[in-house]
Amino acid sequence: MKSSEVPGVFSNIPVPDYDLTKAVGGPPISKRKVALISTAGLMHRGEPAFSIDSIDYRIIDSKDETELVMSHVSVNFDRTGFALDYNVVFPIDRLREKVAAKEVGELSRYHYSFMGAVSPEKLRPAAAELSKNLLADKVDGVILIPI
Amino acid sequence: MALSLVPQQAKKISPPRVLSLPFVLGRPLGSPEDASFQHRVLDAALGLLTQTDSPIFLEFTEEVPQDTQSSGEWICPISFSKEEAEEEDLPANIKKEMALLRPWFERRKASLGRTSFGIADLNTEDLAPFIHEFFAGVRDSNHDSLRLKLAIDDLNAFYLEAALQRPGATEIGAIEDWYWNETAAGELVRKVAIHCQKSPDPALRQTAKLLMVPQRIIPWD
Repeated sequence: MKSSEVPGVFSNIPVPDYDLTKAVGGPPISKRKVALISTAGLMHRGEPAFSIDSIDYRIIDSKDETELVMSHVSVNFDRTGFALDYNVVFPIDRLREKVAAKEVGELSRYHYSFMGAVSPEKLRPAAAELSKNLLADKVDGVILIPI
Repeated sequence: MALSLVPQQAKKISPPRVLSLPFVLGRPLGSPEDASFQHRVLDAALGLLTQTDSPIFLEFTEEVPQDTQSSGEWICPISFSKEEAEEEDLPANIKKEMALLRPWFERRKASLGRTSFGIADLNTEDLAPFIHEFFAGVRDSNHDSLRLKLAIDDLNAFYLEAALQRPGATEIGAIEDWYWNETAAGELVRKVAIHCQKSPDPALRQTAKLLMVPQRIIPWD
């Protein structure tokens, strides 16, 4: 199901007002350290599942080989994609390949996931904290990935 | 930069850089098991990181290959007896279904080295009886609603992954339609969702209405 096929659903979801933020420049991608941030409710197996109204985020450690599982609370999106290939939701292997091909400078060790079925305003404190992690890790390229 | 599957929301929020994608919800990189396609999406996304004339809203116009979307009519890898499906003992019927599906599930787990199953704190054989307790009125408290939600998700994952083991079974929606309309497991979860929407507990009512069964199966009011 594409969002365009259910327009009434998304037009009824309130969206906060945000100030426009200008894009900042930076080095070429081949020199950047890139991280992924998902809203798919991803976590390493064995961690507590996200709950309804979860406002925390989880660290996805690219060196942790514990498999990724999804505990997003919504049932209104296709789950077969993730079951077939986690990269269609979280393209970590694709990023590794781009680093190996020297198209991307470096893969951040740490990536992150929220559970996106929550009002964005409630996620603001955690997002602010997460941004400090990124700065501390000298990440200068982030891809925000919906589900 | 932000990928977006909901362009009207992305335009309202207007972050500095957006790549708007034409894919189904749940597949932000478009085409599973298709590294080449995923790389093209990432190339478009990464390319925006060096652009500064914001706000930038770029539409990714390439659609996923058709053979990823549909492999023709999908046939369940096993047949469930219609007579058995009509019996009222849903947990017993689910036990039979899962026994038939297990070899497919295990084969898929072995070949991929991963599974989405196992986020609930219940063994496989305990999932259906636990879920059924909400329908039978044994449990009716929001205290257990998260466990119920996770059990439902695990039950779904077991069936889905077993069904995906059939070669070529990638048609979006076909497997989910089979699960919700042709299995005892789907029938039990639908019944539980409808029943729990009458719960005296408002939180459990909300969970039942929004988080157990897709809206296209049981429409929201």
